[in-house]
Amino acid sequence: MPKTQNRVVGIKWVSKSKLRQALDSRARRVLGVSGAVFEKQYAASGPRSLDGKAGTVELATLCFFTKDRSARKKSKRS
Amino acid sequence: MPARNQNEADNNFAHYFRESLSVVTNAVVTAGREGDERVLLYEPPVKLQRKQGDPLFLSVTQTYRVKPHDGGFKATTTSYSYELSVKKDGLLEIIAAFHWHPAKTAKLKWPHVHIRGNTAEGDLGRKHFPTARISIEDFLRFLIRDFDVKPRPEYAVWKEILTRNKREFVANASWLDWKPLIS
Repeated sequence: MPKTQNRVVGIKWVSKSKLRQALDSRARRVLGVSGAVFEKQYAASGPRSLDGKAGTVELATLCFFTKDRSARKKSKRS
Repeated sequence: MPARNQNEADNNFAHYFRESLSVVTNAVVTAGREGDERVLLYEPPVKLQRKQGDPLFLSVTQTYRVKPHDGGFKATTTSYSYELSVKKDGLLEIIAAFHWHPAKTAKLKWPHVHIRGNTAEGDLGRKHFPTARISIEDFLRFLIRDFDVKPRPEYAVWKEILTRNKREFVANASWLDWKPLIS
């Protein structure tokens, strides 16, 4: 058997922006909407939007990894 | 035995997963992280060769968390999605999807399978048929046995990989439970 057939598949750790691209690609394929649109819908309706629709659970999973958590809340100076 | 540090636990978990996948594909796994949570996935789905019939497409999304355990560290699965698709009129159509995502859906915490099928009862795709916890090794064996997916290594090699990694999965399981699946 050729050696290549025994090789363990590689792994590529990617940044948040690459995961966002994956989210967008998947959302377009399974729902026909952009990743940004799915993120808004999911934020608005939560788990109810996952109710058995094929492919949406993975999108919700990816949302967790693409969410920008660095933004600070604006606060008024007192 | 727990890993000595977070990196070791992380690498061990990803290695088993990648080694099992290598039985049916050579596609590189994409990985991401957020805090102590990790995700391993294929996007777009990868094409699987079959002994006969049109190609199938595999999509996996698995998340896990690395946490302190017994004086060391351990990686624990937090959700999975193993999906099988076929190409129809140029578009991928999901025909079966094994899911477990307890943190995402408070009223649906049990492992389940969605099967695309139009019956007298209507479309079954939105039903959540309860299953046991399915490992990636179980799912790959299912593809090889029932869908004629062609393993890349020879019989003795792929069988040994999937058996060994499933054994490891069960030995480290923190989910063995007698409670009813659906409460």
